[in-house]
Amino acid sequence: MPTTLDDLRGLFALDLTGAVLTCGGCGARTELGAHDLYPDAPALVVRCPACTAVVLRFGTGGGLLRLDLSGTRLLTVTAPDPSAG
Amino acid sequence: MAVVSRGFHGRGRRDRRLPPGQRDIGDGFPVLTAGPTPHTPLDEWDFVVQGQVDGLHRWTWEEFRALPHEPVTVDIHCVTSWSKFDTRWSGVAIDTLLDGVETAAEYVVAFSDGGYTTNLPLADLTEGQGWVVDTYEDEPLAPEHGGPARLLVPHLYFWKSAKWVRGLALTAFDEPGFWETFGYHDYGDPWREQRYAGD
Repeated sequence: MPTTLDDLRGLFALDLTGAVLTCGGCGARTELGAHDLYPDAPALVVRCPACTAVVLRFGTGGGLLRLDLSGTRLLTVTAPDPSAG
Repeated sequence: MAVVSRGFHGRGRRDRRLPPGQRDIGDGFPVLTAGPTPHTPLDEWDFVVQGQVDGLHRWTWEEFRALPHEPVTVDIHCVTSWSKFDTRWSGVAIDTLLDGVETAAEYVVAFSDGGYTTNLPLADLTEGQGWVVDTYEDEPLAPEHGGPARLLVPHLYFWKSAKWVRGLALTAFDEPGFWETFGYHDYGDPWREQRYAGD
């Protein structure tokens, strides 16, 4: 089965706190929940604990959800259904 | 929508200083930060004006401190909806820093220790509208509030007043900064409630 955009529904329905992010700056691989979090800003800023580079920004203001992963080279998360992999 | 006039005169006077969607934070001064607080030693600190200018203009901390400072008392407005009245600062006017600088640039990117950037039209920093401040309420500006020096552009949302500022890059084209690339408004006028792109 080819992967389609519909499969993104599966990704965004998951709890991502256990997802592993590869930092686009230094290449460190870290669980999302083990990053340095800066919630007291206009939006949540998540930084790599190894090099402090911004790996993720997430905002909820203005009636939109905003997700910036441009500082993340790779995000991996265990598929909920083994047959999906 | 009807505009409701408050009957209490004193409250009404203060309300006129509040842009739409803002609340008066009173004596508080929230610390909003998107990263670790830099602690650059003053003997390593400098401030530069670069980009589309006739050479690099640079001041060490001692040189910056020796520039003419002026007191500034202004209201500030954070995009997260708090406003703070009558904040007292002291700093160097951008007009002073750009005195004698030849440029055809129309835009500025302010850049800071820690990698933060924000963009503004050059015309919004000049003619007494912008400062680099190093003093707050008669004390050296605390690191959590952007010390040793931060930009102060009070007529725009406070994210434009970059903490830990180290320089201005003058540019021919508008280059979105840290929050502007994340969907925040490119200009950020609190009186027009320009919080997000499209507002």
